[in-house]
Amino acid sequence: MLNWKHARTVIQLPLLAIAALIVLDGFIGPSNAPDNFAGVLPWVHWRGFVVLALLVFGNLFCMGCPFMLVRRPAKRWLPARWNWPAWIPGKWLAIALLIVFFWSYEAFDLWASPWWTAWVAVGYFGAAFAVDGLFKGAAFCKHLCPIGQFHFVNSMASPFEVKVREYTTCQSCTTKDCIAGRHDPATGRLVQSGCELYLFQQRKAGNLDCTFCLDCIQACPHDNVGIIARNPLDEFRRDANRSGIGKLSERLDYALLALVLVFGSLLNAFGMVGPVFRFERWLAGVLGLESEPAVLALVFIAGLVVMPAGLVVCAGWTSHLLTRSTRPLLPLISRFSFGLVPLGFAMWVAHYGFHFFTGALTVVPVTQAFLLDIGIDLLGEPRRELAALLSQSMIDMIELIVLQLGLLATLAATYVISRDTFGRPRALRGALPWAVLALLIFIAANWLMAQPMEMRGTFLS
Amino acid sequence: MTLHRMLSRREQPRLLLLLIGVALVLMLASMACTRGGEESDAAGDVTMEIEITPDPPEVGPAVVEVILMDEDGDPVDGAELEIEGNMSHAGMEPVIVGAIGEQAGHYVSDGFAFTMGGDWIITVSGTLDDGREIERTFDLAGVSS
Ligand code: SF4
Ligand code: SF4
Ligand SMILES: [Cu+2]
Repeated sequence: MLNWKHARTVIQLPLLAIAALIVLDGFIGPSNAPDNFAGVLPWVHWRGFVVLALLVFGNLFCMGCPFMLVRRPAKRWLPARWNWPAWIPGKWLAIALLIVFFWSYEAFDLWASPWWTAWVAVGYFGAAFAVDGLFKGAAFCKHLCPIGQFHFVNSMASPFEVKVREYTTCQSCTTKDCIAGRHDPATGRLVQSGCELYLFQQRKAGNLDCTFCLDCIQACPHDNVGIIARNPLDEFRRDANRSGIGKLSERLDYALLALVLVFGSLLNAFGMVGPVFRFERWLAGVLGLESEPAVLALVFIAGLVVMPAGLVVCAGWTSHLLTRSTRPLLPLISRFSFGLVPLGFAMWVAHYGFHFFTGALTVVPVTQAFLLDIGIDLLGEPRRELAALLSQSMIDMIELIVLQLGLLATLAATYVISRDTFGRPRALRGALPWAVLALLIFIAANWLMAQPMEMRGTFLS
Repeated sequence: MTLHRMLSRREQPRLLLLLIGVALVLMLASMACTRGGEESDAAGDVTMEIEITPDPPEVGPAVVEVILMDEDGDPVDGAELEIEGNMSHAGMEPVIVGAIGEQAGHYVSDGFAFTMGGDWIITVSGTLDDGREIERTFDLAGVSS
């Protein structure tokens, strides 16, 4: 079924319809977020489904990404000739965009503005069209898309991976269609592209940068690629030379991306608890700042870059001392940073899961009101009392369990990284500082989730 | 050189399509807030104010007092009103209560409570005693928890 040429399109089309609905309602619908599809569907449902899909499956939402439906026409209409510029390699631009996205979400209260949400969606379609129309391959996904980076990094914790079934088949394969693409033997025309993110199945390791786009599955003439269950810990066991990426210990940009997402999980929940508003107000007073975006910019740079960098340097340095290692410090820090990903992911699941389970049913009255407004009396009067899918105590319990599992997974990942780096006898000592850091993050996460929710747009004035 | 000449025959319809797409989006964007129509109630001559106790508002039971007046500043009595509180963030259960009419155009919420801290949107809707519909929305920033 996944081999079928239009498999991905079938998943994308419903999501395209939903995106269109969000844009439409965002532009012409009610300005109150709770009454608008653009307030409800992206911020309550989509975010919830994304983390749940990553948790039980993998990168389902890149697979179904509606923005990628404009890629084929873009490649046909525009030149699509250029290589991605060498002076902005890897993930650096994506990291900057991700930080800008997290900051603007808070600074401009995107969740409260259906109109701006609609513009973000439109901008996304435009940017994907322009970038993939000008550059070769999947440049937008690989180097820009903040949503994609979220999926890529957190799918390290997912139980499924796109990978080869039999390595021996790859060894005897002469065409390598999974990367080169399949060509019509008669005309030489490309009939099925190979991996546009430049992941060569034979050397692909892990889920990073994989959009689950099915291209490789459909290109392989031996039906040797599939979506296969795995132990997520395999991501961390070896410092594999990953196809299209290289060794994680040598990729400072990927490590920083991972850290931004781990600490982003805390900062993104920051904006909805009372003590944080009081802190931000205090900070604004101390610095004499009157602009909220400026205060938030400081908070986000400090919280997403400066503090994480400081913490991992401390942890890495201590683990260096404890193991009396003579290896260079930076590769060690880069690699161990990925060990924190499962915990960060757990915090995303807890937070977005919270919004999803508290508000999933609000889509019912919004749909009812939408239909009534366009003159279709099919579902009756809006049942506005509908909101939560689960009781509050149930949701609290799920959050707690998820965070604990995340901590466990991070401890396990840290241990396997340490064992591979320092050898079994020194593995525990090498992992200890990182376990302490994980514990600190875990405590911060629990504290945040235990605060009564206080969703505010502004903290000054 | 004209645009006509710069583009090949194949490219012209594509450019047109693209322009139509962009125009459509801009048109939609400029039509903001027409569905639902918050300002479009039939009682434009009636003004509504609300007062909330405690002031500043905090989590817990609260009283929302609605005051209706006509153009001359005279009280409007006899309306049937409903008060709904929503968070500015989607996906939270709204608080919906009735309002009890007192004299002199005053209506008092029946059992209202702020269920959590943050920014609230208070919507008062209902019918006047002459049968016209009325609906007004008020932003309430920073209910403290
Ligand atoms: S990386 Fe972004 S644009 Fe690419 S498939 Fe994923 S969400 Fe879509
Ligand atoms: S073609 Fe590349 S990105 Fe797509 S599923 Fe295969 S490995 Fe992943
Ligand atoms: Cu939140």
